[in-house]
Parts: sequence; structure tokens; C-alpha cells
Amino acid sequence: MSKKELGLALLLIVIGGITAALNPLFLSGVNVLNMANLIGLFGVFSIGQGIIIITGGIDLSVGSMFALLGVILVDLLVNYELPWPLAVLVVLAAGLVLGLLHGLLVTRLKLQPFVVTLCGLLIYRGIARYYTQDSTTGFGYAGDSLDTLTWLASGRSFGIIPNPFLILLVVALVMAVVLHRTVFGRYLYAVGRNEEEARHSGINTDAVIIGAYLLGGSLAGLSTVLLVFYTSSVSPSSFGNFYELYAIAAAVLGGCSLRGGEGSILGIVLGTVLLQILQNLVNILGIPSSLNFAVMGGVILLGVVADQQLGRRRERIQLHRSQATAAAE
Amino acid sequence: MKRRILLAAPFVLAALPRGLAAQEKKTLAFVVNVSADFWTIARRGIEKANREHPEYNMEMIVPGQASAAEQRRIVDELLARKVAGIAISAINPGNSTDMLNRAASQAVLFTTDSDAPASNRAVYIGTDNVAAGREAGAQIKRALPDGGKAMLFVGTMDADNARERVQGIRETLAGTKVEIVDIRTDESDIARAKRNVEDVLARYADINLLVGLWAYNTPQIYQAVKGAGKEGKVKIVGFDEDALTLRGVADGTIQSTVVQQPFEFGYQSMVGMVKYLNNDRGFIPASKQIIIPTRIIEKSNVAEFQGQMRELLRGR
Repeated sequence: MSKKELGLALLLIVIGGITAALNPLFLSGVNVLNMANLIGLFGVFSIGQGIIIITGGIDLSVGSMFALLGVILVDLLVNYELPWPLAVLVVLAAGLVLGLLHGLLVTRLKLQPFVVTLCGLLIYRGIARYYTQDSTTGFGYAGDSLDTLTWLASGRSFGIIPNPFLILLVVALVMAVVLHRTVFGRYLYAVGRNEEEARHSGINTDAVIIGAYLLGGSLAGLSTVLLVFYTSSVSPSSFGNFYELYAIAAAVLGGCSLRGGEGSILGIVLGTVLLQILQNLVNILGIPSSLNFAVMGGVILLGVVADQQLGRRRERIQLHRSQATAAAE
Repeated sequence: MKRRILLAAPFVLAALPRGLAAQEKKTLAFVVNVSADFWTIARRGIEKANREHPEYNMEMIVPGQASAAEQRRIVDELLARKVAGIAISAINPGNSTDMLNRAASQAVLFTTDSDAPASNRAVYIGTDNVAAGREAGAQIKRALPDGGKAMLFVGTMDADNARERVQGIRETLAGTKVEIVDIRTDESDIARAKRNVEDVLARYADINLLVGLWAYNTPQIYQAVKGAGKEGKVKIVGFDEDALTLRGVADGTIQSTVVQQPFEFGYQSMVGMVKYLNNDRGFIPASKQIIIPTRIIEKSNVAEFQGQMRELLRGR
């Protein structure tokens, strides 16, 4: 655990402690499991976002991707009555294709990731709305043939543990190995820190960046399936609105720098946990819903400021020490 | 999926010449506030009106975002296109009087779904939301004859229909032993709508009844209550006719839902504008409000209503 992750974990414990002291129901089994479920839902695509941010990119299109892939998933399952493994595969593949598209536009045409994915945000939302003629799609009139998939995406294993949380654990574990234990992972950081330098040292930077967007796209595809089964319906104009910002916030809270080259999977997961706790405590403490975003923004700001100040203090202390040792010599 | 995209291509092409043909026929526009199934049903009403009056070009326009600014842009563009009539569900009617009056001076202006009484609109065709709230209040009283705790869920409270429905509910419950604990909002984020319900069920062990004020709220309440295994223990009263809401009414988890008749909004607005353009204004009452009554859907009539809805929403 790095100092940054330690600090974040501390913040989590403090906020969780205060909330639990004010209302012990915060730690009740039902509430903790509900939260675990949501952490799973939001964690999976936050990891994808984090990996893209580590390479110095950004993906603003995830929320719209959820809407587009979501309506496609519902359409395939309900209207085309495709077998569910095939429908899920199509959605995962579509996520991959969109990721590839972003990656190619960023590397081959040298477009800025912000612009590419901003256009994605607008285009996918528009297509989703056109495709459904602006109507909500859902499983309301669907039969019971989706029981297996419903259980996989929104059910509970071992009697109590929400499957999205288990899926997040698997994804986090795999991605942690990829990011922290493989050459590709090293390259992701190298490209994020200094793309030019990375290229000169023989790294195929284009392939690395495209790889990051592929991972982001496929994790967005996976999240789509989970989110659709959480709500059972997709309204194309609002589904997933602003979710990219939850992902970016989780990544930044977790120690990713928007300049690239920094961040860890554990940090991103902890960032997601903090965001979900903040939303939960608004409800659990009975704070007016209208303050929801303000509470979230306030705590994030507080966390970032504290992190910055502590970081500077550490640097000062280190400087003092090195000066002291230098003087002693 | 590939096939579907290929299928979509001719639609895009087909959509283009329609704008050109609009030059000859008079156009009547129906501007809604946000995309929803509710408006899909209204669209069927518009289509029926158009079959009866093929000499007009009738279209429904859905804003990209539910914002007053976006709606204003749409209305300005419609006026620039010189449409003959506009029926609009104004997002922020209180502060849109200027925009509405400008429209009223250049075309026939009806309001639908949400009224703007301060403007020069010719007539309002839609629900009386305070009355709809009173209907829901009566359902709540019936569900909790001995009183109890109720929680309300809605997208945002700055929408007039949300405030009016709450007002109607409060009026009916005044003096009873039913207590409205709080109103939780979700800013139209469906996932948050569900988590709000989950959190309320986790926090209040003694909650007796949940009310969903907007179309998507009730299905999320239904799912969260089922997920928590509290069917029957926690009663549900809802609004509107989402498919899941109707399923919940059918299986008894939801006591009843108050539905509006958007089909009539679409049909009567369009037919009314045609009459108005032909100088037949006898159908407009002195109050300048044509109130389409709400209906209560409960277990006894849900099957028939489900059939109707499936029919209306099919083949889109």
C-alpha cells in the first residue's frame, strides 16, 4: 500500500466511523451488502477509466456507451430473443469495438482523447435515443427466460454476497496483475509519464494506448450488463448520464493523476468505495437529497487538499532531513 | 447488431425528405419535456389524429436534455420554420412566459401535460396534477387505514408536476395518522432511484408505505422491495404505467397506480389545434383548461390495462 492509498483508506475509516456513530444502521448487514453491490457496479468501469487515465488519456463516453450498449442488450434479449450468452457476447464485443475506435482515433489520427471521447459521448447518446425512438426499454413484458443471466448480473452468491461485487473482485485482481506485474503494465505507466521518451526507448506506444482503450471499452461493456440488470430498464436519454464523472472521480481520488503515469488498481477501488459511501450516508443520515452532490464534492475536495498538504509536508521533512545529514557531513 | 444498423440506414434517409415535404403541408408540432414511454403513448394519439387529418404534417419533438434552454431553442426553430401550431409540455412554465407568448403570437399555442396559465396559450390539455396527487393520497389512506409512515420518491422537486402531486397528497393526508417522513430525489438517475429505496428500507425498519411520483420511480421501488423480501410488509402506491409497475400491481406487491391518459393528450391536442386553425373554438371552456381525468389501476382492472398498453407500445 502506498502512502496515498493509506491516506484514502484512513479517510474511508474516518467517514465510515462518523456515519456509523451517527446512525449504527450504516453498518447493518443489509446496508453493507447493498453498498457492496453498488461498489461492484461502479468499480468495474472505474478501473477501465483509471487504466486509460494512467496512459494520460481520458474516456468521457462511458455513460453514453452504457445507454447505447444497454438498449442494444435489452433489444437483443427481449425483441430478438437471442440466447443470453450470445447477447452478452455481442455487448462485450461492441464495447471492445468502441474502445478500439477510440484508441485508433487517438493514436493514428493524433486526436486528443478528450475530444474523441467527448464526441463519443454525444454520438452514442444520440444513436441510443434514435434507435429506441426515445422510449424506455426494459424487461417489463419479458418472460422468465432470463433467470440465469439476471442471477449472474444482479443476484447473490453464497446466500448473501452480491455478484457484481464478486465480479469487481475478479476484475480488480486480474487488472492488478496486468497493471502491476506485467511488461504491458509497465509500458502503460511509461507511456503515461512521457510518451515521447517511451517511444524512443523502443515501446510501441500506439499499441499500448490502443490496449488501454480496449480494456476500458470491454470493462464498459461488462458494466453495461450489470447496470442494465440493476435497474431492469434503460431510458436512453438519462441512463448512465454523468457516470464517466463518477469513474474519473474514483480514479483521481484513488491517486491517478490526470496528467498520466500514476495510479493503482487498489486506489481506484478505494476511490469507488468512498464515492459510494458518500452517496449512501446522505440517505442513511437523512441529509436532504438535494445536498447529495454537494456532500460528494465537498469530501472529495477535502480529501484532495489534505493529500496535497500532507504530501508537501512529507517533502519538507525529507528535505530537512537530507539537509541535516548534509550539514552533519 | 450489424443487421440492425443496416436496417437503420434507410430510416435515416427516409427522415430527410420529410422535412422538405413539410413546406407544402401545414405542420403541427408536439414538444415534450424528456424522452419517456409516456410520450410514446402520446405519439400513438398523435398518429391517430394524423390519420384523421392527413392534410397536416404532425410531429413530436423530444429535447436532447430536459432543460428549459433546450426547449426554447426547439421552439425558436419551430417558429423559424413557420409551423402552424405548437403543443408543448413546458419544462419551466413559470419562467418561460416570454418564450411561450412569442410562440403564441406566431402560431397556435397549446400547453399539454404541464400548464403555463400566465402565458397566452389558447388552452391547456392534460392532467390536473394536484387532483392526481389527491387520488394517490386516497390510495395511501386506503392502504394505511390505521396510519403509518410513508416515504416519497421522485426525480427532482423543482418540477411542477412533482410539487403539485406532493401538494395533493399532503392535502388528502392532512389530519390523518399517515406521516410523510421525507421525499428522496434522484435527479433522474434510475440507478440512484433504486439505491434511494434500498437505503430507505435499510434505514427505516418501520416504514409502511413507499410512493413513486414519477414513471420510473415506482418500478425501482417494486424491485428494491422485492429484493429486500418485504413484499406485502411495505405497501406501494405509484404513478404512471411502466410495464414493471403494472406487473407489480398484477402480483399484488403494488397496491395501485394513478395513471394519466397521454394518448388523449396527443390526440386531443392535435385535433384541437386543427379545429382552432379552422376557427372552431367552441371546444375551449371558459377556464381554458381541458382536464383529462386520471385513472386508478389496481388488481381488478390491471390485466385489461396491460393489454391496452402492450397494444399501444407495440411495433415502434
